[in-house]
Formats: sequence, structure tokens, C-alpha cells
Amino acid sequence: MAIFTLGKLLDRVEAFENRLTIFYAAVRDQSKDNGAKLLIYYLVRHRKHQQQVLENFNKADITHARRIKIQDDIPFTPDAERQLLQVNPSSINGKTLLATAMVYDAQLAQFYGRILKAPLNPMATSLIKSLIRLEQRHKLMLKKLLDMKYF
Amino acid sequence: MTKITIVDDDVEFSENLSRILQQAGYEVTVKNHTDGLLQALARDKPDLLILDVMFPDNPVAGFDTARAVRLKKETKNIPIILLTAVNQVHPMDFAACDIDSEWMPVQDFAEKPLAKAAILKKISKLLQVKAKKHS
Repeated sequence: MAIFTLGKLLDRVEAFENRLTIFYAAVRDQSKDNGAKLLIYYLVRHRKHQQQVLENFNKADITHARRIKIQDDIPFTPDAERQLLQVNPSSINGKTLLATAMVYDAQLAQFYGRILKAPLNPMATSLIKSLIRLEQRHKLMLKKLLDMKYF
Repeated sequence: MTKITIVDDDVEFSENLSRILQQAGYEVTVKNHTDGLLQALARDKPDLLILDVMFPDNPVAGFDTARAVRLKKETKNIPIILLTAVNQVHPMDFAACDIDSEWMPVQDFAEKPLAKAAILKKISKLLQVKAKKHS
């Protein structure tokens, strides 16, 4: 049986966020939809907010936490349902972006929630809980934007 | 005389701000749209740019313009203060912590409505930083 580390699992999130950032830059440069253009500047900050959560923890503690072994793999395929990253960036509208971002936040919170079920040390538990809270806050903000019906 | 360019589609707001800055001893140019702005900045070489984010035809014209200013050789060193009335229209909380070189390459944010003392302090601080860089 393959053994995974917490670090490997978190790297999947980072890789996905990196792909999203590239996609968002393409939307920024190609989209003619005003809603999409405004949202992109909001959404791109998500990766930075994740980094800010990590920066609140001691670097050595994070290095240690990343080595924690997780017995079972936890798949992370947030784009499987909507496949936003396959869409032509110039054809994206704000409503689609917003709805998809809410799905991503839910998937991320779910992914972290599954990680929490593995035996972690207190620091790693605190880190994952902070990341879940970030996703919950982010989703709430997106819900507010959705309710405004601008996009 | 230190030159400041204000770019904001709100005519009344930009005139009021212009008056405040002129009273404080600055030479002020006001533009109410971003058309031809880069060329004007390259020509006039202001010491500071105060730039609104949302314009009627583009809700992120300020962000786009800031990035374009940084890419142009003649304008890339102009300090920028972004005006963020966008937070009143949409709950997006854009703030100074969002400043980065790729997406928001500006020096500071200022939330509308502006407090006179606060904006003058921001301007003075940025001009001092610029002067230090060039001394």
C-alpha cells in the first residue's frame, strides 16, 4: 500500500491553485465580460490567502507536519465536475466563475476535512482547521457576491 | 513643483481632491477617463498617480491601468495610489495587503470617501520614498 504524506496532499492543492492562477491571468487578459474581469482580481487572491494562513505557523513546525504519514490516499479533483480549466478563457462570464469558485471552496473544505480524519499532531490539526476556516470564509464572501446578482 | 495626476470618472470627487492637493502645494492634472492615459503619463511624467479602480465601461480599469503603467518604460516608476470605492459597491475588501507585482502593482490603497489628512499623509510618504530612491 502506498504511503502518502501530508505534504504530498497539500502539494496537490498548491498545484491546483497554480493552474488556476494561470487560468485567471488568461481570463483577465482575454475576457470581455465585466463581471468576470472584476471577479478575477478577487479570486486570484485566494492562493495568497492560503499562503498567509501557512505563514501564521512556524516554518519548522510546517516542515515537520508535512512529513506526517497518511495511510490512505485522499483524491483531490476539484475541477472534475465543472472542468473550468478546459474552457476558453475569453468566453467565461462572471456567473460561471462565481459558481465554480464556490464549488472549489466546498471541495477544498471537504478535502481538508478528510485529512483531519487521519491521525495528525496538534499543530497539523490546527493548520488544517485554519485552512478549512479560510475556505468557509471565502465561500461566504462568494455567496454574498452571488446574492448581489451583479455577476 | 511636485506633479500629481488624478484619474477618476467622478468629476465632482476629482475636482474636490484636486483643490485639496493644489492647496497643499501640488501641481494637479485631472483626467476623468483612462483613454490615452499612458501616453499622457509618459509625456507629463507626474511624480504620483492617484487612480480610481472602477470606470463605467470597465470595473477594473484602475487595476488594468496600473499594470500597464508598470510595463511601460517611461511610466514604470510612477508611484500609484489606488482609490477603492469598489469595496462599497461589492464586498471584496481590496486593501494594501493585496498589493503585488503581477496583479496589483501599486504602492498604496485609499478608501473613498477620503479623509483630507489621511490622503495628504499617504502622498507625502510615497513622495519621500520616491525621493529617497532617486537620491
